Amino acid sequence: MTFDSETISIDDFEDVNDYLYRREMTDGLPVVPPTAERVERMLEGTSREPDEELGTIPPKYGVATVEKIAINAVMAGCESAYMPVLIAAVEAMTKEEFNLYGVNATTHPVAPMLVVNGPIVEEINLNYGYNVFGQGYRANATIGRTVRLLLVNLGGGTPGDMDRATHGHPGKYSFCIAENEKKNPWDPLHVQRGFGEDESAVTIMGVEAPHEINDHVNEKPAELLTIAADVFATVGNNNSHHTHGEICIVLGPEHADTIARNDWSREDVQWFLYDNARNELETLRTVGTTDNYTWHHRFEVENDDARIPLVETPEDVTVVVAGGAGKHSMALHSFGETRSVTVGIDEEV
Amino acid sequence: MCVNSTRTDDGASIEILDPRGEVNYDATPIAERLDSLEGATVGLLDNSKSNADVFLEAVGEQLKSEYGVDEVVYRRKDKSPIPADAIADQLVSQCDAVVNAYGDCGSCTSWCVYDSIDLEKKGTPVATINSDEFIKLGQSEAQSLSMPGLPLVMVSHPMGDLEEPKVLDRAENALEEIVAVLTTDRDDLEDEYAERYLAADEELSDESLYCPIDL
Repeated sequence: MTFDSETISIDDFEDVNDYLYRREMTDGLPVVPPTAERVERMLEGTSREPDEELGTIPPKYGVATVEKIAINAVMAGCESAYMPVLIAAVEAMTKEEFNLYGVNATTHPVAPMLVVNGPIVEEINLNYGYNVFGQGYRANATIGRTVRLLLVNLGGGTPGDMDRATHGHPGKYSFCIAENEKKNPWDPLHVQRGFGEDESAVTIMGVEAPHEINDHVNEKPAELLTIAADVFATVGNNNSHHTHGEICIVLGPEHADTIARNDWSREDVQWFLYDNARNELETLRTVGTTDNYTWHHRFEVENDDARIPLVETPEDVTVVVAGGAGKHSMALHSFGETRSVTVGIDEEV
Repeated sequence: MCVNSTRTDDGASIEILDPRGEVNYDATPIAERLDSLEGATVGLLDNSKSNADVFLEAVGEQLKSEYGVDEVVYRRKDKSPIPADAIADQLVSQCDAVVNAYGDCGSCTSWCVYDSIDLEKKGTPVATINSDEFIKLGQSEAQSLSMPGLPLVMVSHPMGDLEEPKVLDRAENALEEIVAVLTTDRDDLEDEYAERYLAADEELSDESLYCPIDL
């Protein structure tokens, strides 16, 4: 098999890692050397042609060919069966509404997070249960890692160069979960977005690191979600004053059950957080965040007691169920000027 | 192609494939510049970053009082990390030139540079303001967006938490370069600005913010 990519000839495993690391082509961790044989085996995971161009990755706008995805997937430690997820992820994050040109250069601590749904989750053994945002699963770890390597090697996202994150966050190493569809009392995320339950899909969101919502006591949905709303409604996040953003709540299965057994729908959760995750206009004015953004109608009200939502509509609250046992959920604020995108995975694994 | 052979004996080394993406672009020239600002209408594009309004208002006043600009048209983006789009189109139709302020963070620099290139491609010359900390990012992005010669005017960083007199000072200091960028011959400008910041000998940004990989 011939490749479009240039071949680099190096002594051994250690030298490969030294070479790639020093030329800022890694995330800092050791990588698997992307030899032609390994890349060829990775490409067996997809029927797409290696030279197919899926888009360009800003801000450097390197061309995302299937071959380049496979090379970076080898480096990250993927199995070939993960390729369809990676291809869908690249298609999703290069959609204009995701605003990767902003996301991959910004000072804000944002990273693209993948949420995978459908039969592929079990087929490739993605974690949707205990420690879902944490370590331990090859598919989650290496798929998320590949996305980061693509943002570096195709997008130019080297820290201090074109990735200007003031701090970044730990999810920039890898940020990929699956939904716990077995414990989701409502429609799974991809079904909410028009896919069939027997289809697989990837949703990409530009979000901050997850923040704990702890409620070990409440039995009523409104009480539990009041705590969630309070975690969301802070003034120092981008959603408090940006207009195109979404927020995402990742409900632990026990919290989801508490809500659903009281006959609350997913839409009720969205409406509750839309109605209650708000900041008072006076507070926003006091801290000054409205000064930069005076055009928007959200702030064009006279009453200082007005409570300003984090998002424009209830539909902008994304509800995901994931995790193991325990009375915890997670709040994820977004970059603010980004829209989540769901793309179907159309290949057999 | 072998780009780095560290071993002369054959067969024992590992051959790997380059993980970096190809970057393809055809360089696009910047817009033709004005002969002079006398009688011109100049757009002031505020990307809504803090103090951009103060900076631009001061620049606009001086352009009118000192350089014979007839009118300024002030427009403000709703948010910094999104394209100006319709606002840019308005400025193209109403103005002879534009001052675009500013890039002083990551995503706002991205879209500031994007907006300027959008305006330049539509034939309107722009003076694009970036802070020193972010101007290399701005120039890299101008290259990636196919306009390596985009003239970027540098101001000190940060701009966001300055008292007004200091903002006015920076506007005053930048004024001459803004005028030059809008009125110098296009080819001369491209020669002057392409690679200007990326190739700069002196360190433009604060080195203590950046940990280089020890090469």
